Amino acid sequence: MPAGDVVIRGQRHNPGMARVETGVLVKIVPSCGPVGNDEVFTTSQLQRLDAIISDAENATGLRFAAYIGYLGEDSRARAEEIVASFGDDAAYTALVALSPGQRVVEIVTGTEAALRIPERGARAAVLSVIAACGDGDLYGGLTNGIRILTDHAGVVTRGA
Amino acid sequence: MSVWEVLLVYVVTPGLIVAFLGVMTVGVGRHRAKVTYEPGQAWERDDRLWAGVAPVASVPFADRVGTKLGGAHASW
Repeated sequence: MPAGDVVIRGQRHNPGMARVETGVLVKIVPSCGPVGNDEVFTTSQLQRLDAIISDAENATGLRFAAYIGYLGEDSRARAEEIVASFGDDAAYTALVALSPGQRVVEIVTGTEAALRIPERGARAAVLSVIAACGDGDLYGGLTNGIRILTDHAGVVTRGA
Repeated sequence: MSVWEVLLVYVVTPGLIVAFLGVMTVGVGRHRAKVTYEPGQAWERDDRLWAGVAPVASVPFADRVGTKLGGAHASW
């Protein structure tokens, strides 16, 4: 949402609006749709990962993404590129990116998502991720990271 | 019935059925077995990205405008 685009109360019948837990109406930003494919995890793991991401997004109103792959020399820059690829949703995106070959985890939150997920929350998520990945559990790392970010982002109550 | 016919009906046929069911139960899906990863080993799989499709809801902050990316970094 652009700076200064304050949502006006009273638009409760607008389908593009949602009401947050505190009663404030918020603007619904169109989704960027699904991306990527699978093969790294088992079918049941993918189903659970999908459910976790879906639950996280429905609860927080943020876009959550999980990435596994090579992040390059500048892993932070690559992770930020991935977030930027979400277009209009980039500001509301929280990404958990793993590079198993480099043993690196990057968590990037978009400019608006960063307001919802404090740095302390991102650090807590990173600690959880490296604990799981250090044991070889990449799936656990991704899911734990997303869950912790979700907890720190708080809940948005949709609809009015 | 001859001995061979008895064996065919009571041993071979049930055995084939059991073997078929066993293959279908255990064998199918093995190619999608969980990826085992040991810290430090090379990662030669393609990059993967998953994201949801739920509409994003922006929560306005009265006195704050997001201008910086956030996040954290670590290695294991």
